[in-house]
Amino acid sequence: MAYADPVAANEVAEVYPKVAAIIADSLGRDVEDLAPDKALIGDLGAESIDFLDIVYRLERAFHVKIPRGQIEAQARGGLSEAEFESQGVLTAAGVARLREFLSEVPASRFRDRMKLVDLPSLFTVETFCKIVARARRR
Amino acid sequence: MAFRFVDRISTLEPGKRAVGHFEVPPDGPLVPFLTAEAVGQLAGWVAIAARDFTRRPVAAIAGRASFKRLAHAGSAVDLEVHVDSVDDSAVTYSGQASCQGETILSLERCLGPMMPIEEFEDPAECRATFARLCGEGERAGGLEGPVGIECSPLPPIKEKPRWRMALPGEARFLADHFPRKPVIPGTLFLEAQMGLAVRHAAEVLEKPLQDLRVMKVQDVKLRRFLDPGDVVELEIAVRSRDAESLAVRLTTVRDGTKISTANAEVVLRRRP
Repeated sequence: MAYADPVAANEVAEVYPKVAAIIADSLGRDVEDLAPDKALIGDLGAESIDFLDIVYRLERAFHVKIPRGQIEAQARGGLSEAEFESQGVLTAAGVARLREFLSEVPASRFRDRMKLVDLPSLFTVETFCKIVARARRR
Repeated sequence: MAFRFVDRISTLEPGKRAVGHFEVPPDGPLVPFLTAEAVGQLAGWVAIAARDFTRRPVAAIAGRASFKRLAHAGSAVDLEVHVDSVDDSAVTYSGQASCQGETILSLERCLGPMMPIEEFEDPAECRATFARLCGEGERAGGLEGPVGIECSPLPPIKEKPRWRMALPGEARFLADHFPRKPVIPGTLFLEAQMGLAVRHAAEVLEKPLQDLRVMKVQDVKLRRFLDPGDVVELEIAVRSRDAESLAVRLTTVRDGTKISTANAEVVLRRRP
């Protein structure tokens, strides 16, 4: 089943310049260092405090609300919590749903028995573009 | 009270807004970052109460702190905060401090991660203190005892001045910050860094030290707790300058790990 709330390429393209500038500013990097497929943690050295900072800056810049934990809830889609994860570890169905939801993330970055706390390690610059694009629809 | 900067909370809109008051002790003015601490502590009370004393914020991010002037010894400082959002993960807020109606400091786009309160202090005591502050109030007293951050120059790297900052292993203010987990307050750490930024500006601009002040600090990010006795290295990089001001980037590192970053603007004091 296709994910019910896909984000079109033009929606990502529309917000990318501003999202990239915000992420670059938050991480103290040049915007030229960024690309849609760069992973925030693995490629850009982001830490948990940076995620809070980036989300806060995006909320202010785009005049949207991005509730913490929203990504997990959206990724779960129609799956129940038990179907999605068990004791902090994603089920096979959970990983499959996540791969669908985070379609911008290379398949090689998903692992079996991924921990829920490792979810942010998947996020790319494009992931944040999609978060903003979805938030702008509401 | 060894590190408390709110005497009374006179207005509280739960989870949204608060007005508080602090009387500066008679032994000296309230330095800029301790004025910011006062505003941050008031925001902290709003956030703690909003989560029913289960979580408390810690200082982490300030988008911009603008400093107009010091609060003089013995003066009454009025504090006001507006909370944008608060949940179990973070509080976001802005605020200001004023004396006799004149704004002396403003804070914008601040964020504090929310942590389990019992790791830092007794929730019941915290609740009781909050009740007193919202009632008759109690004398907070501000900073008790010397700060004790020792700074010594290190050899520059690529012409960027560097300093070794040795944080105190023991200090009276650690009794309040925090009773169960003593950590060096980020505001004291930043105040010490600003002192070094002003010293550097005096050299670069060839102006007397006493003629310079920090006007604003932006993009402050405190990434890790600073433990008593920690030793960190500060690097100062010039971002821009003109005849009367210097903009610098301050970066601190501990054992190769980045601890904090901030951008500061040092300017000439206006003549009366």
